[in-house]
Amino acid sequence: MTLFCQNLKFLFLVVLLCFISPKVFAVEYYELEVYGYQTANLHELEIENTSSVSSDDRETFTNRIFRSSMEFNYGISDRWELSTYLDYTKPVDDHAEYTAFRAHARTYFAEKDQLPVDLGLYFEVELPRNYRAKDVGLEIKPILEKDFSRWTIRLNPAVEFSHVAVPVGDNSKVVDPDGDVISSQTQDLSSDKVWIAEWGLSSSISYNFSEYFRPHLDWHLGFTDQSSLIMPSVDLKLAKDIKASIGAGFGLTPTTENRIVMARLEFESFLEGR
Amino acid sequence: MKFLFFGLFLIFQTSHAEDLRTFALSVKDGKFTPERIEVPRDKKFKLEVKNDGNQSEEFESVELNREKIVGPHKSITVFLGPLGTGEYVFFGDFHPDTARGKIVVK
Repeated sequence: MTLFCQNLKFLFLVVLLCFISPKVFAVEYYELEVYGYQTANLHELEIENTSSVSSDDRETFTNRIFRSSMEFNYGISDRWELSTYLDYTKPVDDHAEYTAFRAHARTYFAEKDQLPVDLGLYFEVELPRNYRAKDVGLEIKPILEKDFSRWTIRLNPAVEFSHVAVPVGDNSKVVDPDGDVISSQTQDLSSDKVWIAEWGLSSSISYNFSEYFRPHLDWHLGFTDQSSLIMPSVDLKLAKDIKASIGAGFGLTPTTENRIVMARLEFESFLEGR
Repeated sequence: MKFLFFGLFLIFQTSHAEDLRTFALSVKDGKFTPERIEVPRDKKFKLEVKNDGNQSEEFESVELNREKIVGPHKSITVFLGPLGTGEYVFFGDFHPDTARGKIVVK
């Protein structure tokens, strides 16, 4: 199989994935990360904070929302990692509040480059604080990665199953999984909940410039609320065990938060023999 | 959904087993042996990295997008290629000053 044919088949799958998702959930503002194939190594501990400030105002960056997520990630084997998150939010002129607890497991299939496309799988459970609107979310996310010399393309198509409350009244629309009511009218929530499934796609193209500098362009799609966020970012290695990432997001549609500034700080430690 | 499975089928139908040439690389006390490996151009190959020491080492390469820890007295298999002509540097992130080498493609 020639190199050209292998790359052509991957690009074919990229095009397929861009068009087959009938419904896509909203942008994951607490993460804003496109996952790669490689998991944490055995006994490797990663402590990570992702924070962002976003605004709907294109000119003055007012009506800001601050979000922060604290993550603890650990490699339990050469192929599996487990992670827990605590999410917080603070709208401007309001107090900060705990938003959700999340946990994920991630793995990969075969060694890198053993298959024409590197494949991984990601599972996440979310327990929101606002359990009245949504008491649990389950996400499954295949991870696809392909290197072209120093360039790397990553795709994260995803499906999320959410157990959400049904609005009381004649309005048959289901409450948004984040607890926000889709309709402009105030809706009461019944105690009855239903399972809904929504699809998403995040993608990234990056260039491995050096050990210390890796620029990338991420694109997060949400068709349910017609949101689309493009985010140029850069990954930096600040020291042997300290990495950072900074990015600026631009909403491409009226329903996307217009401007987002994101920063991620990661500390790695290898706990061999402990 | 049918199209997704068809796309995955196209990927996996090329993943049948094939005989790949294997090159050996060992690491001990913060040093790789050999420090230079010559491989053929445009061919897939395997690198068996064996840690003969008592401490873990991380096989890392920016050009090859690889970052994997090798435990003491353990080995890993790294699938590489096809690579174009040139030199591809790798290093041990736990001993970056001494654990260095390169893959030379001709």
